[in-house]
Amino acid sequence: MSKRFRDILLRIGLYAVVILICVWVIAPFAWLVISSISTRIQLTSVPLDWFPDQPNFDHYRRVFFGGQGATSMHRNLNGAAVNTLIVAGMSTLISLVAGSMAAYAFTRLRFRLKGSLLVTILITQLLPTVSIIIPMYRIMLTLDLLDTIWGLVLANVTIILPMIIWILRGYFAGLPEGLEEAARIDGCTRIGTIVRIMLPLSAPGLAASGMFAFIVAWNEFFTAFILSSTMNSKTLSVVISEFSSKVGIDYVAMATAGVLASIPPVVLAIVFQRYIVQGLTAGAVKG
Amino acid sequence: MRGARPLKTGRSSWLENTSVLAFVLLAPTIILVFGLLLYPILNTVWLSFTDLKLSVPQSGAFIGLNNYLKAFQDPEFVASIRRTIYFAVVTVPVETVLGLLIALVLCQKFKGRGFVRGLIILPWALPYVVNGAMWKWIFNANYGAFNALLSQWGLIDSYRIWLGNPTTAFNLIILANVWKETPVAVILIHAALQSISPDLYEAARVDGAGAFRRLWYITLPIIRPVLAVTMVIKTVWALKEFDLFYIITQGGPANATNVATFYTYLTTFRFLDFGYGSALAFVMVVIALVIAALYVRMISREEPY
Amino acid sequence: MKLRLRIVLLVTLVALLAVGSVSGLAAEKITVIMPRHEMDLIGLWEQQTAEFEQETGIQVEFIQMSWNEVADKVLADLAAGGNTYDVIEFDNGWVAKFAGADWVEPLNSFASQEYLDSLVGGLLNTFTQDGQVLGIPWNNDTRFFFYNEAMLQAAGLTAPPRTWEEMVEQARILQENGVQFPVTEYWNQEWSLASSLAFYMYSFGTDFVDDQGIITVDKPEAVQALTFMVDMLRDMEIAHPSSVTLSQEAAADLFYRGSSAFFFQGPPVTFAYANDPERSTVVGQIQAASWLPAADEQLQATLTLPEAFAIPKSSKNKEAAWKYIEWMISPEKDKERANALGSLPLFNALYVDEELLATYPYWEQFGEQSAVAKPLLMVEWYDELVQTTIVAVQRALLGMVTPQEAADQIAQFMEGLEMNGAALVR
Repeated sequence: MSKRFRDILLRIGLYAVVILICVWVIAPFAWLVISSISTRIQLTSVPLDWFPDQPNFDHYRRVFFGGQGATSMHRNLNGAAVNTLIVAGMSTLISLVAGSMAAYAFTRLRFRLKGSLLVTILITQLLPTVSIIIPMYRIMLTLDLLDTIWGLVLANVTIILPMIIWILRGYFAGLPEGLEEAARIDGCTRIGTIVRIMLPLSAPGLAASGMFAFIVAWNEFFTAFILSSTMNSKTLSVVISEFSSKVGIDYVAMATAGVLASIPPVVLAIVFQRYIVQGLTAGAVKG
Repeated sequence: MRGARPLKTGRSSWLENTSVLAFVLLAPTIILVFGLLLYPILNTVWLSFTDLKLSVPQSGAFIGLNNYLKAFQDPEFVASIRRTIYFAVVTVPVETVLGLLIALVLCQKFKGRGFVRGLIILPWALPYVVNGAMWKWIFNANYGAFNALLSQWGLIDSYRIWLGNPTTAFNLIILANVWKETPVAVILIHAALQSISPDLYEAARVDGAGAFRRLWYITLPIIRPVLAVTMVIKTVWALKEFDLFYIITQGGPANATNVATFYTYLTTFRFLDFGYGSALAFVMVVIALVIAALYVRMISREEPY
Repeated sequence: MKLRLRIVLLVTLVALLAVGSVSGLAAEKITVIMPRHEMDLIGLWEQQTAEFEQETGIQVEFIQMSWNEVADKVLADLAAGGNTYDVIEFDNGWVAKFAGADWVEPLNSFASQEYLDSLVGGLLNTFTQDGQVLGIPWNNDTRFFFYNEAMLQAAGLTAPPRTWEEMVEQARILQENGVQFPVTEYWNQEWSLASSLAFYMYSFGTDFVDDQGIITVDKPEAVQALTFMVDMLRDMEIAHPSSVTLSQEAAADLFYRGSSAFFFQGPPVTFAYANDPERSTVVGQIQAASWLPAADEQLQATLTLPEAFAIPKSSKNKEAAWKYIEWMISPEKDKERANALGSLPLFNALYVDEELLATYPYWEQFGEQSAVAKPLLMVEWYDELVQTTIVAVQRALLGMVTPQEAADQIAQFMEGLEMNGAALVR
C-alpha cells in the first residue's frame, strides 16, 4: 500500500469517526428540538414521523412574546436565565480563585495536615445532597440567605470548589517545577511565580475546570430547587422543572425550555474552547 | 541569597514562609467549604445516632449504633448498594475510555475541529431535569423514539417495553448517563493532552516509534494523574447519581433501579425518617471513601515523568 | 496589591450580604405554594390570586409546580423549622403524617360551621383528624370510569360492564373487533400503583386492613384482586403490556389515541383532554359511566384523592392566610373554575347548579359515582406502605413472584405497625 493511499484512508477514517461522534452527541438533542416544535399528538403517533409537517412554534412564541396560553412559567424563563447567569458566573469565579490558590498549596507546598485536609475536602463531596440539604436550609434561614442569589452562590461553591481543587491539582502536578525554581532564583516571590508562571502555564486546565464548573452551576437542580422559592433566585433548572402537573410532564413545553436553556452553555463552550490551545508549554520545556 | 532585583510586593517576605503561605492560600477554601458544610455534616452525624422520625412526636432519642446495625440488616438497603456499585463500576470506565478516545480524536487536526470541540459539551449542557425527561420519553414503550428508530431500521419487529424490564431499564439508564457525562471526561483529558509538548512526540517519531507506541509509552503515562482524577470525580458522581433514577424510573421496575441515593431520598424525604436516613447517608460516604482512597493511592504512587 | 484586592472583595461580599438581608417594609404578604391543577391550562388560579390581591391589598407570592416538587419543598421547609409558607398544599396522604408532626394549624377557629357544612362532606372528612379540621379542600380529585363509547358500539356493545366478569367478556369481544388491549392501567413503580391496588381491592370488597386491626391484604379476597390485575396483564392479555411503565398521564395517552377502551380510574380532566384535538384522536367518543365495575355490583367503589390548603403552625400571617383560603375556596370562585376549567366542584350547592349542569351534563354521573368514593388508608406510615406495596405489586406484575407471595410481603411489612392506637395483626 503506498503511503499516500494509506494517508488518504486514514483521513477518511478520521472524518468518519468525527461524524460518528457528532451524531452521537447531537442525535438525542436534535430529537429534543424536534419535540419542542411538535404537538403532543404528533409525538404519540406510530409509526413515528421524524419531522412534523407543520412545525408548532407555539411554546417558543409563548416564551418570547407571551400571548395566549402563556403562563408565568413561560414569562419566568427570562428572569431565570439572568439569575442562572449570575449564580453560575459568580460561583465559577470564586471557585477558580480560591481553587487555584488551594491547588497550588496542595501541589507545591509542604505543610502539616496537608494529607488530612485534602481527604476532608473530598469527604465533603461524598455526602448525598438529600441528607445535608435540610441543615443547610436552616443555615440559610438563619443567615437570611434563603431565596437569594448569594445563598445559591455559596451553596454552589461548596459543590464546585473541591472538584476544581482536585482537577487543578492534577494539572499543577504535571507542570515541571524547574520553571518556578528558575524564576525564584531570578528573584520572583512565591506569589509572583503563581501569577506569572503557574497560572499561564495551566491555562488549559483553568479553562477546562472553569468551563465545567460553570456548567455544573448552570444545571444544578436540587439545591437551587430547595433553597429558592420566588423569582428572586429561581434558576433555569428550577423553572424548567415546573413544567409539570400532578399527572405528568408537559413534554413539549419542557423541551422548548430545555433547548433554550442549553444554548448559552454550548455557545460559551464553543467560544471558550479556543483558549485550550496546544503549545503554551512548548517554549517553557525547551528552556 | 536572593538576587538584587527589587521585589514587586515589598512587604511580603512573610509570605515566603511555607506554612503561612499555605494558610493564606487555603483560607478562602476552608471558609467557604467548611463554613457552609460543617454544621450540616455534624448535624447529619448526630442524627444518625438518633431515632428521629419527624412524623412521630417525641422521637429523636439517642440510640447509638442501632441505625447502622439496621442498615446492614436491611435487605433493601444492601440491594441498593449493590446496584449503586454496579452502576459506578460500569459507567465510570466506559465514560473514561470513551472520553479518552474522543479526546484523542480531537487532538488530530481536521476541519471544524474547534466547532466540534465546543459542541462536545452539549449533553452535559442540558439541564438535568430536561435530560431525564428526554430519555424517559425516548425509551417510552409505546411512542418513544428509540423504539421507532429500531423498528424503522428493522432491528426489532415490534415495540419493546424497555423500561419495564429490570435489566434493560438499568442498562439504558447507564446509557443515558454515559451520554450525559462523557463530555466531562473529554474536556479534562483533552486539556491534559494539549499540555503535552509536541516535541516529545517528535523525538519519539524520529526514533521510529509508531502511533500506538507513542500513545502507550508517552501519552498515557503523562496523563495518568489526570485520568486518575477524572475517574475519582466520576466515581463520586456515579455514587451520588440521583436525577436520572428519580426522573426515568423512580427506582423501578420492581425496584431494579433503586440505588442507594434514591433509597436515602425516600427514607429522608418521604418517610421523614431522618435518623435512619442519616445513617444510610454515612454508610454511603464510607463506601465512597474506600473507593476514592484506592484511587488516591494510585495518584500518589504516580510521578509525572 | 493582592491583599488589598482581597480585602475589597471581602468587604463587598459582606456589604452585599447585609443589603440582601434587609427586608423591606411591606404590605401584608403571604406565600402560597400548591401544585398546578392538572386542568388549569390557562392560569386561572393565578388570575384569581391576582384578583384577591387587588381586592384585599394582601400581597401573594404564588408558587406553583409539580406535585412531587411541592411535596419536597414543603417538607424541607417544615422539617427545617422554617416559616416560608403561609398556605401550603396538603395532600390526603399527608394528613396522618403532618398531624403526627404537629405541623398544621387547626382551622376550626377560623371557619364557621356554615362554611364547613357547605363543602362536600366526604372531602372535608378526609382532612379532619380527631375533630380538628386541618385543611380546606381545593381539588376534588375523585376518579371515574371512562370508556370509549364509539369502540363499544362498533363491537356491538350497548353499555359498559358492571362486573369484572362482564368486563372480561366485553374485552374479548373488543379484541375480536381489533382493539388489541382494551384496558390501560398506570402501573409504573410510583405512588399511583398503590392507589390502583387499593381500587381493585375495594372492588373485591376488601382493603389492606379491616376495622378490627386485622391485616386483610394477604387474605383470599385481596389476593384475588391482585391476581386479577396480574391476569389481565399476563394471562388474559387484555391490559396493555406497557402498563408496568406507565404513569397516569402516559396511560391516558393510550386512551386518548384510541388504543384502549376502558379507563377505570381516570381523573376528572380525562373528559376535557379526550375532547381536545391537540392531544386526542377520539374526540367525542368518550363517555363517563355512572357506576364502576366490581367483582359484584354491590361492591363498586371509586377512589377519591383530594387535596387541600393548610396553614402551617410556623406561619406568621395566619389571619391573612385564612382570608386567602376562604376567598379562593368560595362558591363564587369555585363556580368560576368549574365553568372555565371543568374542575369538579367543592361545594354541595354547585352540583345542582343549573348553569353548570348545562355545560357539564355528565356531572350527574359523577355525582352518583361520588357516592361510592372511598379514600386511601390514613396512617402515619402510609408512605412506607406505598413503597413496599408498589415494589411487591411490580414483582407480581413482572411475574417474579406469585400474587400470594407479593401479598405476603405487604402483610409482613404491616405486621406490628400501629393503627388507631393498636398494633396490626395478621
